[in-house]
Amino acid sequence: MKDSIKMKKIINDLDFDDPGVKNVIKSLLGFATTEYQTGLKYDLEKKLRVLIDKEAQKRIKNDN
Amino acid sequence: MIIKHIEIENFRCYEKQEFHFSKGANIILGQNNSGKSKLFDAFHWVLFNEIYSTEKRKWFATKDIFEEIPCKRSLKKIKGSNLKTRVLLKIDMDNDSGNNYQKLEFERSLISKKVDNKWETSRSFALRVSTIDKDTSDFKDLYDKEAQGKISEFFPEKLKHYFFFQGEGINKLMSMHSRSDFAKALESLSKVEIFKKMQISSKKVKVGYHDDYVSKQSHDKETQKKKEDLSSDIAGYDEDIEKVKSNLKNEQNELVIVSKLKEELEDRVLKYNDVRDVLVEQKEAQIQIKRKNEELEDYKANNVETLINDWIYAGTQDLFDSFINIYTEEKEKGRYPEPVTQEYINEMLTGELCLICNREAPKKSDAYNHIRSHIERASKMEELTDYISLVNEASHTLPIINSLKDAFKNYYENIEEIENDIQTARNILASSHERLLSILPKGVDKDHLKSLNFDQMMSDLVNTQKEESAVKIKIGRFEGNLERLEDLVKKAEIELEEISQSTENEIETARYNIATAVAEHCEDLYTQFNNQLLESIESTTNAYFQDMTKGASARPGTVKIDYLNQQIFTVGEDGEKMLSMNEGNVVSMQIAFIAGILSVSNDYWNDNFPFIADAPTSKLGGDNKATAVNTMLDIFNQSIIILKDDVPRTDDEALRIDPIRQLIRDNNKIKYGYEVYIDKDDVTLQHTQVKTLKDNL
Repeated sequence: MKDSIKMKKIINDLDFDDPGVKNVIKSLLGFATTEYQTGLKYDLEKKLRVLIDKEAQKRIKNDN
Repeated sequence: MIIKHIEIENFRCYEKQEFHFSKGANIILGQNNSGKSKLFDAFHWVLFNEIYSTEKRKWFATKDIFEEIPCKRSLKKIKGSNLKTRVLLKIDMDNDSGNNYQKLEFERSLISKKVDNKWETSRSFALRVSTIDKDTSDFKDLYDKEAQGKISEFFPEKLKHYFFFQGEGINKLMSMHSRSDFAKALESLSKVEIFKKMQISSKKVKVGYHDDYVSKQSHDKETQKKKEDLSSDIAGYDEDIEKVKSNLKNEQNELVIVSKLKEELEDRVLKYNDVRDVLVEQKEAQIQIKRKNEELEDYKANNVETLINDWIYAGTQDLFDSFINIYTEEKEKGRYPEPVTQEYINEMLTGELCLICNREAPKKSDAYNHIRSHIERASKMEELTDYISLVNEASHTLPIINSLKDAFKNYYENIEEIENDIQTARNILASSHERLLSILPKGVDKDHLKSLNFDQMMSDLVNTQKEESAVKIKIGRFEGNLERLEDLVKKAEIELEEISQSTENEIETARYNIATAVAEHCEDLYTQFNNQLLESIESTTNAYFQDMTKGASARPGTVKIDYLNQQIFTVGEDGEKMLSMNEGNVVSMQIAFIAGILSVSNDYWNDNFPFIADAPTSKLGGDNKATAVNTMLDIFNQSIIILKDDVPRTDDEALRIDPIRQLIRDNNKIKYGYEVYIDKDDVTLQHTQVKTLKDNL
């Protein structure tokens, strides 16, 4: 039972055909988990924008 | 975590009591109104600042029900004017728990004061949480808000009604509507909140990036026109540049040709420069010779006759002088000489001799005619006039005769000077001829030399030099134009690049695409995690339920949680919902459900919550209750189960055969057993007393 519902396993089980998106979600999950565990408030939206922007820049760079 | 100890002081119906607990099961028995629910309140108050109103059947915060918190008996008994109400809870942490603490203490208290013989209880409380570090055993006290934060860390607010379970509220806990305790617990459980937050955040970010994307596209249309204009400008400039480059190339080629021609002409001019000087010198010398010869001839022609005419008087100075003196003397004396007689004249004519000047006067000569003219002029006055005329003539002629020598000398000197000039020119001509021969380029003979036109040569050179300058000016002008056009192209290209960069919406597109994918996956994550959580709760609940109903007389069925339709029920072997359940199976399902939630929660929180239940089996009696309790002992790491005592305290036989008391006595999993009761001597001021039924430690 324990293994079947672990968060990491769920992330790994999700069907990501885009590794960049998977990385963004993993990083976001890390932040959200830290917020949950420490009680410190993080701006998830801001963090997500940073992650997405970084990934977008990387893609454009690779495309060029 | 294990609740080890609770101290209750002046709290509700407790004056001062303490309970010890351990891992495993702990059971408290009590009849109605014996204070068992107040004990449950004590747990709730110290941790969550709430107490339960049995009358109103709901939980209240201290500030709303503060007057019911102090123990009334204590207020009556105490001699002083201050009463402190206090609950202290001590907890040991499991070694494998996910935090760094060895022990925790929670203490909440409030003060009541006697004012004008009347007790007033403060609405505010004091809170302390003490922690002991697992590794260092360091002790730390936290107060008020910080302390409350620490409590939330260990006892999730949304789960409290599950691990602090009250039998009366079971139906509420079984409810599954969107604002139910179950829905809240589900959010809090297993960090599903994390996925919920991710889902919400990702949706907002997606919407934001979509707005950026749309806004950018609109902006693009406006700037597209400018982009096209700039591209057109650049194309025009490029065309002009090509033209200018072509012209420039032509002029540069022309410059090469003209410059080469100029150099050739310069070489040629330089080559014949000395020759030309010599030839010029020769020509000038020839001109000088010719001019001087002409001058000589002219000079001779102009002076010889005069000199000869004058020369006839040579040697007659004295005669003229005497004649003039005589005349001068006579004139001074006022006398004129005698007129010349006719006979004297005839005599001179006959002798063809001038007796006056003693010169020959041949017939037909001027002198003879002159003498003869005097014959015709017979008058004396005419003779005198002639005479005076002669004197004047003589006076005029005399200086000439005197200067005749100098005149001849001067004549010959001038002749000599002109002849010298002629000779000098001839010398120059001769020497330049020799020099010409020495500097004449090879292969050039005199005939060729004569054919050369030096003026034309110089003229050609000057014209070519002018042409070269003109070409250079043109080249400079074209180069200037080219530089200006290239500068314009560069500026336009920079502007176009800037516009292109600003109009490229690939970053907005990429962001929007990623945000969309992230939002979709976050939605999936939340749904998947939620579903798995529900499946886990359902399977765990069902496992407990099957275990609890093993010996049940009625068919138990299988527990199903239908979260969408907000129902929990059992299905038969045919998969159909069972329409009726006996009382025992209903309670078992309820407890199994609570246990299922706590079990899954423990799994995710990496800790074991204690299960503190007030009258969980209130609807059951006798063996059924014992069976249900027995099952609970197996499920929870630590359970503190407060049960309604169905046996009269005075009936020893009934007490002996009471299944619950037998369970307490016989089951080794039960470490502590207590009985709470009220001293019947004082029913108005309830005072709960405690009897220890079992103390395995």
